[in-house]
Amino acid sequence: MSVATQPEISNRLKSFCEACASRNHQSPLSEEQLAEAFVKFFSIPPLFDVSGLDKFFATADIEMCRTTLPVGLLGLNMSYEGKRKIRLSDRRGQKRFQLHTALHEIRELIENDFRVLGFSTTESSEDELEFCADEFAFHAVLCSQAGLFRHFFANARAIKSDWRRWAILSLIGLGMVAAGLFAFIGAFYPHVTVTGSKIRFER
Amino acid sequence: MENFGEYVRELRKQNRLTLKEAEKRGVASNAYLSQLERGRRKRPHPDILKRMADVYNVPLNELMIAAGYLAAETQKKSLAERIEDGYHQVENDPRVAHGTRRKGVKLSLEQKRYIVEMYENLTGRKIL
Repeated sequence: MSVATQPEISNRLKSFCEACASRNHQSPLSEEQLAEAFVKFFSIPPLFDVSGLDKFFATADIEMCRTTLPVGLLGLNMSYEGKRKIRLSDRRGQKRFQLHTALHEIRELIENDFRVLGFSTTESSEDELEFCADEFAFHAVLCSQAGLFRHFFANARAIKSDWRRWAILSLIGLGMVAAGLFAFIGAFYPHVTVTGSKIRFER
Repeated sequence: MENFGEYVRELRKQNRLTLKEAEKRGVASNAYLSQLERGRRKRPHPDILKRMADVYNVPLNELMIAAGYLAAETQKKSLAERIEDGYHQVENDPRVAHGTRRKGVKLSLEQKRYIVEMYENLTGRKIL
């Protein structure tokens, strides 16, 4: 990730970054807090695929495109004088991770704006930002879905029949586990290499 | 390049700029550019060429060769070398920020090429 000083940052993403910087300038934000603030600020709907971010891309004026990227590249972002672009890989095997990749790229764009504002939340090393961006993607997916599960729980509690209530609650629990796994695997997929029967995790 | 003046005039016209507009965008004074294009000036200083490269959307290398500062052999670099040079240029452009999500630690040549092409597309500058 190259560090840049851009002359101008515009739109809602700038407002979000400014709000984060002004509220938290004394204590750095964790990725979880940042993801929560991001979901709340942009009213992100429960995320299950990248189309859930369409409205965000429009309001933040980010040009997002799904395309065939070179092998091994899941996504990339680039910004220049207020113009921002995100490209996501459409390749088989990587398509299902587009949501997490999009969130990863968004986190890097946020960091660019933070740096312009003098509120960098990560060290300048590329590796650290990469990992923070993955962590942000993981939390953003979970935060976006939290409201939905709370709503399901509230409705399930109102069911009078015991067995039905427990059955629904169990289903919701399973759904939460599945959502958690989806968020975790998607966020950390690039660090996992499967070679034959071995699975290696590299940071 | 035998006639550097004609070459830069062509570049300016390709970018649909008048001499005054080129002056306003910081290339050099209108009078200087006019003389240069008519071949009444010696080759410009590399600083002027750099500004020209930015405004006329042409690689600096190309202008340096045309003005006789660099040997044309540098143009014969392999594609891989040009991609590496281009990527280096992207990395060092303070106006551009970019990041990737990828498997593996290092960027492959193909990935670098994609980044350079995206940079060209975003900035309107030609590198490769």
